[in-house]
Amino acid sequence: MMNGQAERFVQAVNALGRAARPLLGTVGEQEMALAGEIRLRVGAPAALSLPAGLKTIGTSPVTRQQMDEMVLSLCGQSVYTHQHELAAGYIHISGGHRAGVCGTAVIEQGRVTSIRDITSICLRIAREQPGCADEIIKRLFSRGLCSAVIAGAPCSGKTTLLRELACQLASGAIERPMRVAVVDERGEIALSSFTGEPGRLNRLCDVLCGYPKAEGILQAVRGLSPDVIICDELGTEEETIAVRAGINAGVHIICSVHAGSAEELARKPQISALMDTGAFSRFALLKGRNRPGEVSGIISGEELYALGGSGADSVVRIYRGNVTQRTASGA
Amino acid sequence: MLLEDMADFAHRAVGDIACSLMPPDRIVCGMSGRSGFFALCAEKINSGMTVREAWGTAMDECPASGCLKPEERLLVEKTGGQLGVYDSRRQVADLERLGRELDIFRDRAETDLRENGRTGVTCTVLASALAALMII
Repeated sequence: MMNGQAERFVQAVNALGRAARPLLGTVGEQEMALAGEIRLRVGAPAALSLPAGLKTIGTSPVTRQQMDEMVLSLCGQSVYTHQHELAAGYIHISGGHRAGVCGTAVIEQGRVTSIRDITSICLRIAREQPGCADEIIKRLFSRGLCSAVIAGAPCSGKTTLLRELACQLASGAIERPMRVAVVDERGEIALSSFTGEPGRLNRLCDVLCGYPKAEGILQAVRGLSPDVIICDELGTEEETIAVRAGINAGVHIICSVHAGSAEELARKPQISALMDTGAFSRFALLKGRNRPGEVSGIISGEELYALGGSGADSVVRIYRGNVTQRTASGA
Repeated sequence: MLLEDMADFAHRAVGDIACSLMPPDRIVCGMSGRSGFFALCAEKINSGMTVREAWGTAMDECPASGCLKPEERLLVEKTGGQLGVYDSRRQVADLERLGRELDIFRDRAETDLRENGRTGVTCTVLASALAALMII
C-alpha cells in the first residue's frame, strides 16, 4: 500500500496522461514519496526533484508530440478552459498540484495572452502534512490571532503550512473555531477535488478558488464576514488596497512571501507595501527546501526594522512610521 | 438528422465556450439526449476516451454518420479532431465556421430532398398518365 505522498505523485503523473507513462514508468515508490517536482523538457529525459537534488529518470528524451499530449492532458483536454492560467505560466491541476510551463509567449498589446510551443513542464506535487502548523500556531499566535506573513524559499512548504494553518484555525486551535476564508487564486491551497471530493480545508473554510487575490479578499470581506483571510503571495498595489480594506473591516490576514532569509524579507518591496498597511506585526521564517514546513524563527516588525541595511530602507521608513503612529495612539 | 444535430452542437458550443469556457467533453455529453451520435460520444468519454478520440470513434460506429456526404463527413471529423486544442478565440471561430457550413449543407440537403420529392411526384403523374393512355 502506497503512502500518501506516493499516491499524490501517482495522481500528478496521471494528470500528465498516457504520454507520460513511458517516461516515468520506472520511478520507484520511495522516490515517488520523496519527489517534490517532476521536470519534463523536450529533448531531455524526465527528471525528479528529490531532497538530494535532481535525478534523471531513464534515458528516452521527451518528444515534441509527447509534450503536446501532456500539456493537453494537464488542461483536461481543453486548452481554452485553462487559457488564463497558461498566459500566467502555469496550469492548475485537480488535487492542488501545479504545472509551471514555458514556451514561446504570444503577446498582444504588450501583454502575454498565451503560450505556444511549450517546451518545459515543472509539475509541483502538492503535499499535505497534518500537524505541520502546530509549532507555528504556538509561536505565532501565543498572544491571540494576529495578521502575519510566512516567508520561505521556494519549496520550503509555505502553501502546505497555509493549508494546515487554515484547517487548524477553523477547528479552534486558538481561542475558538475561527471563520476562515481562503483566497486560493491558483487552486493550490485547498487541494480542491483531491480524491474527487471536497478536502478537509473545503469542509472547514470558505474557499474562493480561482479569484484574483485582491478581488477574492474584497469579496470575502463583503460577503463572508471572516475572522481571518488566508492567501498566497501578496504584493501588488490592488492587493495592498484589498488588505487595507480587510484590516479596516477588522479581518486578520495571513499570507506567504518568497524570501529565504530575514534580510531578504526586509528588502522585499511587497513587504514594505504590506507593512504600510499597518496590519502585519509578526513574520515567520521557514527553514527551507530540505525541511518543508518547519519554522526557523518568528520575528516581529521591530526585529525586521532592526535588521536595517541600505536595502531595507523602505521597510525601516515605513516601520518607523507605524511605530510612531502606534506610540502616538498609545497602542 | 445528424447534420442538423451537428449544426445545433456547433451553435451551442460557441455560446458555452465564449461565455463560460466550458470544456468540450461537457458540451458533447450535454448533447447526449439529442442523438445517437452524441450519446455514443458521451459513452466513450465516460469510459475514459478523450473527447477527440470519442468523436472519431463515434463517427466510425454511429450508423447515422453513414448518411453524411464525403465533404460533410470530412468537415465534421476535422472539427471533432480539434475540439479543446486551441484557445477560446480560435475554437469559437472554428465552431462558428462549422456551424455556418453545416447550415449550408443542411439547407442544400433539404433543397435536394424537396427537388427529389418534386421529381418523384412528376414521375408518378407521368407514369400514371402513360399507364392510363396504354389502357385506353
